[in-house]
Amino acid sequence: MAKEAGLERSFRETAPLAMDRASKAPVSESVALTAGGIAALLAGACCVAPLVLVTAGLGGAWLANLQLLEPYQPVFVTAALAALGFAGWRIYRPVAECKPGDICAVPRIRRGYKFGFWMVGALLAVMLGLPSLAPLFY
Amino acid sequence: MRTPFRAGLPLAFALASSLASAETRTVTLSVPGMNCDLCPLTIKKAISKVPGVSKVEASYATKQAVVTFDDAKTTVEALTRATAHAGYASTLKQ
Repeated sequence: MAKEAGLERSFRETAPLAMDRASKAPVSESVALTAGGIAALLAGACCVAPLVLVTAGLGGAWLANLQLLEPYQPVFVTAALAALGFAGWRIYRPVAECKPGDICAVPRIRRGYKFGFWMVGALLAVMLGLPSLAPLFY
Repeated sequence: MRTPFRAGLPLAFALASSLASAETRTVTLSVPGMNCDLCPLTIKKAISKVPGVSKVEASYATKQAVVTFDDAKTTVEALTRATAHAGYASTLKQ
């Protein structure tokens, strides 16, 4: 979370003009989606990732390190849900709340963010849902 | 004078059974790191990729993998190496 804040701050310092024109909306949405995606990947690191990597023939002794993330899974799941919830709120709020000329009011960009939102949502769903389906394949 | 003959019978049995197991062998591997529902699938996949392995059953409940393999084509070491490369260390259970 501290990292996100840092990212946003550095962006604001380097691109003040763009920030003024676009408001903070697109930045915080993409940051939230990226953070949500990373948290979703970390949430699945212990369990889904080894299966995917072994199936793809990319196994190695380093995979044991992924097991170390297993105790933190609830943290990653919470972070992913929070980031996704925040992104969803930003993306699906009424257009009326975006000032005319804001990036968040441009239909193409809105569609892009909606797509991103559902991609990250699907990723999280796979990471969380796949283990429950596992017994079907035993 | 009958002692050598008596001793020979178990020896013949031992020899016969070791010859039979030279073809297929079934071992149980203990995989203590199995900590999720998907783990048995990952381990099963990893072990079945070892040439010579004909059957793998992995269980989350017992944290064990039962492997049937061709003794001439692979070794227990290759099996434990395969699980280690999937992120799960394993040992042969006697």
